[in-house]
Amino acid sequence: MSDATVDTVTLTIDGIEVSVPKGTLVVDAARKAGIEIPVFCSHPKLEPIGACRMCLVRVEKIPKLITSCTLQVAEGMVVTTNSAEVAAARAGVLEFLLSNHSLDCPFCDKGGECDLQDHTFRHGVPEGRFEEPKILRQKKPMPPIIEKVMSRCVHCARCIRYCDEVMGVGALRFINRGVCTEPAAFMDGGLACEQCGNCIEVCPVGALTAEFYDLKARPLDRKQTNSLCQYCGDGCTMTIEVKGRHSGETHIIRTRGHDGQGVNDEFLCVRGRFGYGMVNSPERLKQPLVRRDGELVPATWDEALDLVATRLAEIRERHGADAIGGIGSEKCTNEEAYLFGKLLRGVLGTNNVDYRTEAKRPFQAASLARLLALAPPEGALWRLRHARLVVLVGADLTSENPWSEKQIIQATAKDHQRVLLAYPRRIRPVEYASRWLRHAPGTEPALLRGLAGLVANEAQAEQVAATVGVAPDELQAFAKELQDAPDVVLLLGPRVCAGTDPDAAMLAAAQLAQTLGVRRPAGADGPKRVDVVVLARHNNTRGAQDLGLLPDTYPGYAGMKTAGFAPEWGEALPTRPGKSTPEMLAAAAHGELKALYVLGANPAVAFPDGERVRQALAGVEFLVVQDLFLTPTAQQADVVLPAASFAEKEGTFTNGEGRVQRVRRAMEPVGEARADWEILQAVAGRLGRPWPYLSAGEVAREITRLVPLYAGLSYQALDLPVSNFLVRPAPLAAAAAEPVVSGGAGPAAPSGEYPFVLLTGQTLFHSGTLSPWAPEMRRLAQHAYVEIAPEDAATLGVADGERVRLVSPRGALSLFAHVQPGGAPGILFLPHHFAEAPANVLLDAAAAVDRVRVEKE
Amino acid sequence: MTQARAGLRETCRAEVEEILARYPERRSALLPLLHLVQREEGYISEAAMREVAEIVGCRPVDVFDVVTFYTVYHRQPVGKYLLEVCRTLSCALLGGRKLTRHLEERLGIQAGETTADGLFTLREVECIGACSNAPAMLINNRIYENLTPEKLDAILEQLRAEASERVAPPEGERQGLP
Repeated sequence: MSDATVDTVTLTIDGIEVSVPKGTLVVDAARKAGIEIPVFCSHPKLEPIGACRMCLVRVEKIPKLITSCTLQVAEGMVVTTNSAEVAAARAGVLEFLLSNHSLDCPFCDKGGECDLQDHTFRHGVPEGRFEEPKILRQKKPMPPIIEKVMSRCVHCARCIRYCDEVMGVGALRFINRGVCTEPAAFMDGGLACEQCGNCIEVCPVGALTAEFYDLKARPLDRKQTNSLCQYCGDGCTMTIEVKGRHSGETHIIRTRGHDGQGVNDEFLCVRGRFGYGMVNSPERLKQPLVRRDGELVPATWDEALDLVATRLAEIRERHGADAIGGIGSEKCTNEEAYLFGKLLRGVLGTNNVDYRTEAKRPFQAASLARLLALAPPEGALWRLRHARLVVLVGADLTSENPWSEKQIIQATAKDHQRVLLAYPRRIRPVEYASRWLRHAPGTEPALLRGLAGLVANEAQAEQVAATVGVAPDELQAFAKELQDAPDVVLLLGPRVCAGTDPDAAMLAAAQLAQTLGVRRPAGADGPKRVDVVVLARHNNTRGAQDLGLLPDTYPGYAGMKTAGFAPEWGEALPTRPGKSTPEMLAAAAHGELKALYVLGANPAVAFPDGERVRQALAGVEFLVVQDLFLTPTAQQADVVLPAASFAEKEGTFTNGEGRVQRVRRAMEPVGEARADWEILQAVAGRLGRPWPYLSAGEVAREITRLVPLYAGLSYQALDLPVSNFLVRPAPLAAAAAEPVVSGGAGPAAPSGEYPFVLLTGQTLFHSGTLSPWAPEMRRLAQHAYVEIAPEDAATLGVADGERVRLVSPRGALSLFAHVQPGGAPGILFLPHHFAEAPANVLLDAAAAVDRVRVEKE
Repeated sequence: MTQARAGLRETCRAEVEEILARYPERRSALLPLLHLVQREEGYISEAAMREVAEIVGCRPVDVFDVVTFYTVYHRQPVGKYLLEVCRTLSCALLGGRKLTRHLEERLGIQAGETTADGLFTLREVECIGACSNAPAMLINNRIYENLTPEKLDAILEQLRAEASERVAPPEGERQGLP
């Protein structure tokens, strides 16, 4: 007997012989044989519990009916699901489930897509035998979002299990067990959790619903489109549901995970599930605006586009192509990123193009490509689930990449993975990390270099520990665990590149991976496996990088080699590296940069030193902004072009692991808004370069032809349940340039006038400048705030919720204080996406670490 | 609002340590710790649940799950005498319901309530394991069997008498004199 047959089990279900892998559950084996066994509690992503009794079947040699969702197949097993006995059992279970059910289906959000309705229709009996009055219960809110109607609950515990097993949160438990059993939070009150709403998604009935969707639509009212989430770089697939017959009234009513599709297995985080409202916002730009007599006034597309083309041509004529610059976006599609580069480089003739709007110093494209070449070939998400050791540096994973985090949470819960964390603030990973190096803010480069040195036995633990501000034995133990692990994933978050020395940090990370890789752990045969994952904060950060929205490379990390693009993009392509965002803004302030084209970016609230940014933007002769909203950047523009949102256009995003996936048009753009690629094409045309694209797909075809990294891409292949098109730069391309490594900076000395270190970043509820436009997300996090440690709050005499004023050498900001239990004294955290309290006014683009003082208001 | 309470770890430190020492897993100490809370405070408040969660290393909602599962744990203060009438099958068939109605009438409260003088709390509970001598009830965890309304009246009278004796201690003692 071969191994293959040992691992396969053959059984008979309703007379059909079926062979399945050992360990398969009978309910799944039946599905494979084309026999549907009704279930409530059984769920493909959750451990079986056999709670609902709906899946009872007869198995030969077992005296009673048995739950097929908890029974593993056995060789020669004979299962019956179609007998009168099984039918009676199903009808009986349904009769019990309906005995206290309110039958309020016409007023239930789940009406028409409810497992209880479907099962009752197929397997139930029309009349129940219970004569007693029903125990009916009212709708109960579980603030802030979820509503609970216990008369509809079937006690399958999917909500509780999902929250435990996948989220690792455990917010829900069954309370009042007995006839009134119900899932509830502590004291049956509000939910203090991540508000992801996955409990709603897995609920087979209408027991848990979202207040935002409550009684908004019937299933027939909705049009569903499978697309992608627009928030972080994990690239979750989701279904967008819209309502409304014609474009004027169309709006998104719900987004949800798509069953069995995408990298995310139906999961969505809070931003994915409830962050859609920005598309529906009445504040959306609906027509082009041009500045006349100092005021932005509505204009026709022709007027606006003509003005853009004329002014850009004029400025190029007068000051040369390098007097023009472009800041693109990590949110737009690959096709749009590509065309933005093509417009700037091919049509206007400058390499002044970048997508980074927050970085104090730009990293070199070669540094990035070197790290991307070390990415796991199976995809980072899969790898995170299976690695033995994950080292998390500079990432607040919970807020930044929720699905990546859930891979780690599931792996650590099953005890096959350990997590090492290096982060200056207390964040959720502290709960499940086995070690936490609370290093001084801004010392990420020094830490990575130090670890590389320690692993190579070339550095002194005492010295490194002093530089990064941790205890030497902690650092030593951290490094030792790195050395001993059989395989490692090194996870690099945005803080690694946030300082003033990103290239040093990235090189150190590469060196660390390399040094670890050649070391063989004790007792292992082969070389040690080391993967590096560079986390992507936005939905298409990776695509913007891959497709060349960087001043020192053309698409595909080809550097300044224009060969592949020369005839196609234009005859004389610029070959000297252009200016990065900080350089463009500096040049604008000095009057060297005359025109700036901003595509979906918002430097006015994102780039450090907000006041100086606003001055720089005011200083350019001609500013054109393409965006969804009249952002603070757009308010300074000479021409504002209304762009379509992610739900209103076609294209592709490349997620952080390099997976290219399709985003689809779920509705018509609002007002006169147009997709960014269409606008770019119109501008190019008016500059005398008519591009031939009839669709985003045609742009994609050009990308596959000209960018070797994306060769072989086809929209059809992206339509699989999970796109299998993974992009990974070749190691060769990365070895091009060696960045100059300066010494890693140590902790900045505290200063009397500005005693607090200020860290800025995103939170779970807001990740940038889009989510604050979603009223649903505003409900969850309304006001700008600053997190302060309890010790510091006590010293300053500041209570939670009081207003304080932060003062830095660059500016001042007034907002609410949030006293954070467990926060580190001396460190403040400020979410950076509230336009009414822009964190960037406090930041100093030249400082490795930002410092402020706190004043009571 | 719950009143400010001194934590269990302050008031009964040694006992808490002793209970924890009994088990290899801290979580196993959950039930005895809840009993300790109830003995000390008469019922289990929200603050107490949070504290017990902290002591055994679980989430407050896990403690809440357990507290709402067992009828022996009280989430509200109860009267001096807790009357728990069984409502499960054997007792129900032999007139358990009638006992509850009788007590409700005599005490002037509904099941689940406490008399104004704080003397009696009446509740219905699931099986108390006295089926052979049903109908039955528990009074402060002591079992009373083969009950009839007449027997209940006698019991109530006896309890009232006992309470008034204890509630009205001798004159000297009341003034705190030796």
